[in-house]
Amino acid sequence: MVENQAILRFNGATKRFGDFVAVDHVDFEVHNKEIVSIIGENGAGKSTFCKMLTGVYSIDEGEMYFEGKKVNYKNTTESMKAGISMVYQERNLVGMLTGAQNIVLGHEPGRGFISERQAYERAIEIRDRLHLTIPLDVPVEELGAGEQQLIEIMRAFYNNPKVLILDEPTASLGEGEVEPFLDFVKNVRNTMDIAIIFISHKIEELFAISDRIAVLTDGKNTLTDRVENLTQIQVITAMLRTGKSYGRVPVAEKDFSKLPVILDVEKASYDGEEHHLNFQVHKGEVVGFYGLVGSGRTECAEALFGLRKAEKSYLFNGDTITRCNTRNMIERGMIMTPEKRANGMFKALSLVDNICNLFLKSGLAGKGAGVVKKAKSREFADRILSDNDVKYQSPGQAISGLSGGNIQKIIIGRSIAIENISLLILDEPTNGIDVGAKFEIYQKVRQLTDDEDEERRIGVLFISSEIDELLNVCDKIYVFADGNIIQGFERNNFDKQNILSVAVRGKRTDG
Amino acid sequence: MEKWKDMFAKRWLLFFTIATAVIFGIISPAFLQVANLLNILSSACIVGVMGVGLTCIFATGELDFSAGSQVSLASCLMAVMLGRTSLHSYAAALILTLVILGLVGLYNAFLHVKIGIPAFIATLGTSYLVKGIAKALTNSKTVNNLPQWPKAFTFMGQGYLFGIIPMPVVILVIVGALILFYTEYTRAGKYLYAVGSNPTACDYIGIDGKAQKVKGFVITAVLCGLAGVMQGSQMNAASPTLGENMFVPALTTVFLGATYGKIGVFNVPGTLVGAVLYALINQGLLMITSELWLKNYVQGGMLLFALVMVVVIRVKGSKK
Repeated sequence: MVENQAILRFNGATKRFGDFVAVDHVDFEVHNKEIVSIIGENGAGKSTFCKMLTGVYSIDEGEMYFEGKKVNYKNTTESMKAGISMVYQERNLVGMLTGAQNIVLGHEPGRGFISERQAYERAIEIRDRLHLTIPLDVPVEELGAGEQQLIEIMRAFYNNPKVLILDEPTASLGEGEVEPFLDFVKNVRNTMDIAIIFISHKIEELFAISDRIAVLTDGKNTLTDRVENLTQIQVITAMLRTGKSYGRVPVAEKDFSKLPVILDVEKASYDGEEHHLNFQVHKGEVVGFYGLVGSGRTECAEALFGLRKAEKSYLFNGDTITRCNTRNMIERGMIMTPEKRANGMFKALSLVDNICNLFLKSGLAGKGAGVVKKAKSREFADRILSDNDVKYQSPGQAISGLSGGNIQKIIIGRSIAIENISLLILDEPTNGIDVGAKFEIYQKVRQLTDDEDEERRIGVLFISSEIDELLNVCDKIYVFADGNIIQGFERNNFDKQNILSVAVRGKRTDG
Repeated sequence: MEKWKDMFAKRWLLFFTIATAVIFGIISPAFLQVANLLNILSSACIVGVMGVGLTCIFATGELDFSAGSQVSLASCLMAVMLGRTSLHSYAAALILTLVILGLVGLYNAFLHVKIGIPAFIATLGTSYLVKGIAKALTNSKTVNNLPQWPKAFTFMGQGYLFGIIPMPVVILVIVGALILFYTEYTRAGKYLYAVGSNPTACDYIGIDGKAQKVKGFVITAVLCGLAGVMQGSQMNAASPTLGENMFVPALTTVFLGATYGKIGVFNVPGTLVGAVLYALINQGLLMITSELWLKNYVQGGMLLFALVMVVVIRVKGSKK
């Protein structure tokens, strides 16, 4: 075999889901003793591409060559047998089993009977080969996140892989664990005959570890080069989506320093950590939360709204909030729509019930026994449906029969019908709905904040992974990384590249 | 045409029930005599009251396996309190029994809602505890026709209102109407269905889902208690195992009910129709054959049939 022949090569890899092209004619190769990193925004196609390599997804178009031979794996068993191992982002360990038991899980040595001793020896052998010193005879749940990650990798080495795919391996590691881990990966490359594919969206890690970097954007490979020929700015630029152009919504100019503050947050503790948040929402302002998946945007909003246990103290319309549940916050005029639409609707129930269940304590049901006022509820539901241009057959139909866009209109529509609403939190409101419906949501959001009657204006917190839509509708964008707000951008300072680079580097751009 | 088809799809259980009565009537003309029909109706009523109770907990998306034992406990409580203590007021004993059953419901709610044990396991555990209490009360024996029992004891199950309407029918009508009103026309009922449909969505719109489940467990237990009082009264006896054979019939009526009216949703009118159908088939079979094994076949068959219908309807509904 020629020295510089790629061990794994993929020409024109393409994967479609219906009309959506997740991976679009990607050419890719990786050599022995090489680390190639794949970087891209959420949904850029990284995971889909790897699942094509391991046979989880079938290949729609393109040819894959492994050690020079054309291959087409139907499942992970086949690819693993050939020598392609993948370590997934989520931990797949059995907590109460020991490291050794976890490593041999699924391919225990011995026929029928499991030989503990043999298993342990085999695990130790892998450990020594990788120059690690983790104890393998204690239950893995007693180990730290970094050690568990290494056990996963040892498991991947059970079959002597020739290609190792690491999917966001550092995502679950603590601060001090990342660097030793990266050193370990480099060491593996240097000492063993193996090619490593490293997936991450933390750009500094990639520059520290990679031989080559490949950028995926909207399923396309927009850049591939050796790391010494690249700068971080080049990579970030390549990651920017070339702009699915939505119509621009008109945004009224306001001087927020003169407008009342609705929400004022400094910090809060949840999920066992203190988070630096430090942001404000004014009346009539659309504030965007941008960040990569896992950067803590949703968690922050959930903590404020009372969905997530948190130690907090923040100002909402001048009142200090320290303890709350969602009922209290709705009564005070704050409501949040869920990231997954399924979490916001009652599938088998009618449109009327889906709308009116939110208002049974505010006028749609009598006091005392709480008898539901049927006519009034029906009228109220009709009004919400027509105010929000929902397309439906009858108000009595089950909500599950509507399209995603129409369901979202109902969820948002009922939320803004709350009488004293002053802050609306939208978590990924345009997720999975078509372009037309998206634009209607942008318009709605601006209409809520730019209402001609200044009294009726509210504040909106808009959480999104799509930077373009935030640039379109927001007055201010805060960028999250590792659970904290890193930097805020005013509308006149909006810069796509800056915002994205803050998100991937987790550092302020100005120092 | 479409309308009729839709109507039939929603009301088929009612048509099927009428058709069943007619068929049994043709096979055995005695079947359709008023006395027999009233008899069938009153036997449907006790299972019906239990079923209406179970409908409430099913509406929240949970279940209660201790329902059968709750029925037994209530019958034993009444029998022992009135027969072996100095308590002689029937009304007081009835109220006390229902309060105790309410506590059993709260206990189930505590295990599931507060501690977090899946309702299936929690209520299974409760069912044995409750059965144990019932056995302790009666020394594991059936208590028959004690002389201390007031006349009222047998009235709930055997008496007639105005001399014609069997008491169980009266009770079922009252209970059915109350719970129907509660589940369909009040805020609390809307919340009951909301949490059954999606507890997460409840969080987002500020409905306390846990409180709804507590209510569901308590209503179920109290109505099972009432069913137990009725059953003891009808048999003029009480035993710690009397409710066990009623659990599967009650479960069947609830699931049959979910194929009626609001398709795929547990609802009170459906449960009522289901209870009548169940009693019709049961009594009808007794009239035309003496093979006891047939009863088990029919019981199991009907429950499975109802389950299959509900699951198929739901799967179809979710694909839409």
